[in-house]
Amino acid sequence: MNKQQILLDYIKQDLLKGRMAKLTADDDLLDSGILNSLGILQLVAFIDERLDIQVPDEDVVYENFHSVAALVAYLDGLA
Amino acid sequence: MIKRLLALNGVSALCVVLFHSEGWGMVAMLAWADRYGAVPADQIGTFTYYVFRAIEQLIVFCIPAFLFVSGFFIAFVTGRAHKTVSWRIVGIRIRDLIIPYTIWTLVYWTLFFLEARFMDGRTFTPGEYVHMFLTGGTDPAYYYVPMLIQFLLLSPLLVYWAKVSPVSLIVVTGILQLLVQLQYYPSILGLDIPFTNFIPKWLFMTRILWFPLGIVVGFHVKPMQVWLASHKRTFLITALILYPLAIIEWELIQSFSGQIGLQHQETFLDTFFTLAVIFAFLGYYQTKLPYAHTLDDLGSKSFGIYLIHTLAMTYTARLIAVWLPGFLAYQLLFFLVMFVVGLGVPLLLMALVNRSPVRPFYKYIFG
Repeated sequence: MNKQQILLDYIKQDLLKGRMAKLTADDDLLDSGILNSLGILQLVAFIDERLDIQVPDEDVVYENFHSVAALVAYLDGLA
Repeated sequence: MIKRLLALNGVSALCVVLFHSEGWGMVAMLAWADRYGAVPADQIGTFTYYVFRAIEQLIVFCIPAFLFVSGFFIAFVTGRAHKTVSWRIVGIRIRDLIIPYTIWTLVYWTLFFLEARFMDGRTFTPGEYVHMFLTGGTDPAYYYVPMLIQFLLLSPLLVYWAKVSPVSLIVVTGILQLLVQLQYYPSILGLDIPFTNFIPKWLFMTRILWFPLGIVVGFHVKPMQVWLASHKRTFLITALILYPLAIIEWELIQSFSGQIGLQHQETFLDTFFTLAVIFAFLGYYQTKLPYAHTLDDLGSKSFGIYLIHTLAMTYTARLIAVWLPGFLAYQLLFFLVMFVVGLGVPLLLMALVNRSPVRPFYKYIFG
């Protein structure tokens, strides 16, 4: 499974509890309120544990986390 | 450092439950002493009393920590490009707080209604219900929600200020924080001075420093990370020194005032202790925390724990007071029961909903 699918599955199942089954990689996570502060923090922890990627604190910014697509692009750039 | 914020929320959630468990322990020790034939004044100065005081002092950072994390997130969602946070995001954040707050407030009101109907409980006028909702008066812990909502409504101003002049924002809110605490001193010392102790607990002024501090740190993550890490030992030592001093301060205040079992108010020392604790906790971000995963998990559930724990504790305490009053004499055991109930009931409810057909509504019930 690629990063995008892993992240989408995690957000849909664990963070949204199945509330938005049709969430796509391009959906805005922050402006729309899909994820809140705790959700972002959980996502950072998940990326660390599951994808074994440590996101530097200065990169936990809106621009990198506003959608799954943006996040995957950022994580691919890190690698 | 950012990953530490979830654990900070988790530690704060645990501490809130500890605090209210200790509060019930104090109720058993003092207000309910007659139920098992004890004298309140005799309980002051006992080992149990000082255990409770130690807990009461230790957890004083938890609400400021919640506000700090919320402020940090507002900075995060503002991003680098915008001058301030949008009203859309503010509205969404308020919505996410108000829905679960309203649900649990209605649960309380239903219980009030049932008590009034069947057990000679107090009745409330519509105006009193409105007042309770707006000020968090339904439950002693619920003041936090209106307070946070006020900060969110102020956040466009605070974020703009934090971007333009972060130092002045912190200096001004820091001074205001100390001034607010100054006006509490006359009443807690038992002095009758007009125009003091008039700021209600639910008003944002009572905790004015912490949310803006979170915003400023959120906009300066890298330099703050370096600064906090380089001074972490200082913050830890400061916290360890201020902790006993703050306990002694409160005992002196209580002794001077002549009041037994004075309800704790935050003092100057508490503000500096809280700063030291939060900064030390973040400064040691590279040190692995014990039970880190559990703390993160509790952090993700902190709002739900916050909304439900006092409800569970209140009715458990009242049941024990009526059916098993002799148990109140064992306040440390009573405290443990309150803690288990206060933490266990919310977590159990969350687990049940998570496994049920109403799982998609989890966010609306528990935040």
